[in-house]
Amino acid sequence: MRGVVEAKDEAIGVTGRLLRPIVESFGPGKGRGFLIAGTAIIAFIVGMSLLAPVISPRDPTMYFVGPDNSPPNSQFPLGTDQYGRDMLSRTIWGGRFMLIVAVIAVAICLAIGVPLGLASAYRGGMVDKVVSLLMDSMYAFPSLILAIVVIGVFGVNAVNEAIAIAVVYIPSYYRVIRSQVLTVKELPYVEAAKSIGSTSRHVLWKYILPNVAPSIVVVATINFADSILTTAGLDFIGLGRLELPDWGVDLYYGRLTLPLGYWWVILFAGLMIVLSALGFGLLSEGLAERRERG
Amino acid sequence: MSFLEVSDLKKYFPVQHGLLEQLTTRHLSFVRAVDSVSFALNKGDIFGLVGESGSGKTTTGRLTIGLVKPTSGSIKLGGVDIPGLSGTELRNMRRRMQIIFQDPTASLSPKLTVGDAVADALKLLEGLDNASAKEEVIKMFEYVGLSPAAELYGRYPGNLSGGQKQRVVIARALITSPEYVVADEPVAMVDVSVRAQILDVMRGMHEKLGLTYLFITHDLAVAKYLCNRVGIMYLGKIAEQGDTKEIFRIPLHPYTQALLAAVPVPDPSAKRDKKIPHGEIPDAINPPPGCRFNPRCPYATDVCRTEEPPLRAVDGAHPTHLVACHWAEKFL
Amino acid sequence: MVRELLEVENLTVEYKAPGVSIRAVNDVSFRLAKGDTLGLVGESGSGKSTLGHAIMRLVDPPGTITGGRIYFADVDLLSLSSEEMRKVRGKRIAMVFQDPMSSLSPVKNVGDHFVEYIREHDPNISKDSALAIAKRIFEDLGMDKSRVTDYPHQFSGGMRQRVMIGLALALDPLLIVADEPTTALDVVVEAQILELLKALKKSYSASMLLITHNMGVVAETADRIAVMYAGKLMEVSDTARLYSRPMNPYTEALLGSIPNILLNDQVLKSIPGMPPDMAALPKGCPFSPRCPYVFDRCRVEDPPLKPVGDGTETACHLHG
Repeated sequence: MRGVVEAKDEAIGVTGRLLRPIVESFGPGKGRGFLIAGTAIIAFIVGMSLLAPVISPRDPTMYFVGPDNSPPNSQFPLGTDQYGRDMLSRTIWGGRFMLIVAVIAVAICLAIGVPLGLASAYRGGMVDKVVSLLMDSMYAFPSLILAIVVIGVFGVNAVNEAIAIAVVYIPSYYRVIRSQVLTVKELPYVEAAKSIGSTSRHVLWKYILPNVAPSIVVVATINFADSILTTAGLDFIGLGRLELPDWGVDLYYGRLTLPLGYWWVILFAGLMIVLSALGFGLLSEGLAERRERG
Repeated sequence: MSFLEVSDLKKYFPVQHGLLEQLTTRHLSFVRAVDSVSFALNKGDIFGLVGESGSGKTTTGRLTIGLVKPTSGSIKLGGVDIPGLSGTELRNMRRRMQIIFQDPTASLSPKLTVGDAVADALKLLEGLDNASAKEEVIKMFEYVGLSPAAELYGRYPGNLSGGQKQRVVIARALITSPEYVVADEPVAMVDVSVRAQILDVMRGMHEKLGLTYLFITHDLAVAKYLCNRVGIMYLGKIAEQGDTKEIFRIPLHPYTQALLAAVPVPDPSAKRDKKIPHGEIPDAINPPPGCRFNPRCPYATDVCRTEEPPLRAVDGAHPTHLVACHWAEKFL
Repeated sequence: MVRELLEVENLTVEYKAPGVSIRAVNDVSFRLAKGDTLGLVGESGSGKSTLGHAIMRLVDPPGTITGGRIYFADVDLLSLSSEEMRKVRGKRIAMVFQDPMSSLSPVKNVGDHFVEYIREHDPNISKDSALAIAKRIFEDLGMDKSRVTDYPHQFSGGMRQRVMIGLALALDPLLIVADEPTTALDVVVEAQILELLKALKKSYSASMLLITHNMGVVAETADRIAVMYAGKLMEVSDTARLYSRPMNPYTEALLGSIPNILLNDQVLKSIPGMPPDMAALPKGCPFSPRCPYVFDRCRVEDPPLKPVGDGTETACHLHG
């Protein structure tokens, strides 16, 4: 068993060694089903969103490319909305804004939450106690409410939404990392790192961070799912960028025409939102199960 | 002047109390892990610091290389006052003093290749660049018996055996050619058949690099095999110390005698006077008054229960053979 | 009884994971006579602990007993139902583990442990009688019987191990399986426990299977010793003979590599090479890569365990 692993390492070189943990994650074992399902869904959605300009049959914002409120048919497989816009095109384009917001939100969280958790847990003492208290109080805050306030005051755009979501999610990253660091910093290899002359920064960067990183990924994936749902929520109550092709926006418009029996606008948009959240959820579950086993 | 001089060394750890206790008790209690320990190492010594759990041997080792700060007492290595060093000075001093850990698996980060783990020491302490460091590490791997060195350099700890990992730990400790090395139970967690190999490596490197070892162990047989001098610790104090041959030939402290009688011997025909003391090691928060061993000592008298015996030479024994017992002369 | 108290025949225990199958115990056979103490020695990964658990039928998945028989008092334990085996455990075979803390519940006092344990196997015994038994055992163990009402955390490590031994003896079993009973203890306490076990062996007339990696411990306490390597029995012999005339290269190499505190100027010979990779054992004898006497046949044919006279059995092509 040992010999096989080394042979693989030799054959694939340095880049390979970085990718190996990722590729190995798909090997047999616990959580494999979740990982594969989740990754497949995410790949589908991201792929679709990236390729939208190429694969979308029509311009999703163009009014009256067809009759208004027509149900799915051969010309418009997903029907049209009250403004005669092609739902298929809108569905293909609809994920982009949400994904951008999610990416920015996660980036902010990583940039702030991770270093904060690392430093606070490693330092310990009063500093750690105070920061933890602060984070705990932020933890209970519902992201949707905060987002509404931020948007109400600062206007609606991707960055504002992302900030609102990030602010509320940072405590989760902080908590997870902190608990991991508290464990790891007592391990002998950290003491060993100090004994060979490491500064605190070096210990954190080279010895602690790599060993707590896996748990960060799990939180990030849940963060993605949460972000998508929050953006959808904002759109739904009309606080989104209504002029963009966006699943949440379609929910907003679709809601108005639903009582008239026009089900297709809300259905496909809603399905895509659920699917995205599901994809990230499955991925995070798969990752969590993986770590259990290891 | 001796190479390592430890004088009246003390380390007390405060006991963690719950909030209510903190508010109501008048004074804090302490675990007296190391309670006035003095000894000196000459250059080239392999000094065995022997003791059971709670003896303070591990803490003493860590104190001598500055991983723990003493409560009081002095530690001088090559004339340098160790506890007085600032953070940066201490880090620089690490080139000269190192530690080999007990648990080979836990002392290596699972996310670093073993080559990188050892190279890191060189990069941090000698400022070498990646390529030069790698070269040095591969040479060191050969010395400690990790072969083929170039191939093992890129392996992760999870793909090595216990014995191999311990060689990596040794390599990491010795890569900067330190003068003084604390070995904290280096073979306790290694398979029995591999222990002799590891001890051979340590001995080999001792000769090659002119090292001075503080060899911490609970295994008297290993101490006898490897060390030229030993110090027996009990409950934070040194009970007896001296040349290995002397101590094992005529142990003058009842605790040393008890240890020697207790060690299981792989020879069924060996007949020994099995005087095993009753009871167990008391806790170090409230050690017994007088001589710490008195509750379990078959020879204890009133003076033992009230007066702590000093560590002293004994008339009739070798001048470097020191014992902390009121009745040491009895055992000559 | 037709057979010896414990007769293990061709026992094999395998661990199966996706892609690998490991024989932790490989076709092991040995006998333990009534009143004897058999020392089962081996390093980590040798399979000795798995063997001990297998005798109690306590092997957890992914491990399974895939072959052989375990005759205890003339009954093949592997043919019993779970319920029948449960009755055997404790009453007729008791086990003492390495770590007493994991087997003792922190919320019950020690006396209650005894009472529950005794009454589970015989509900007719009253609580008072069971407690009386516990107190008597405490005395036999050299412990203050008033401490029967103390909780496990109030005892030191050595005392807890005494409690475990006491529990093992409580139902007067025929056989005690002790798995590294003193490994976690300080050397002086270890000596105390070993003295205790020797004394109890006489007064309780229980037979013992003592599993350990420590060649010193078995030298003192065992009548016969079985040496394991990579899941295979390499040698079984009377204690005295094993140390003075080992008949297996592994035994000889092992003895030559451990320090003996009674010897001066000892020269230790380390065993070259590495412990075996159980997932990739070599063909033939598992010790062949490291054996100083190896020849061609060793690398092809795995030598079976065979008697070579004087009550000694060895698995080596050099002998028989």
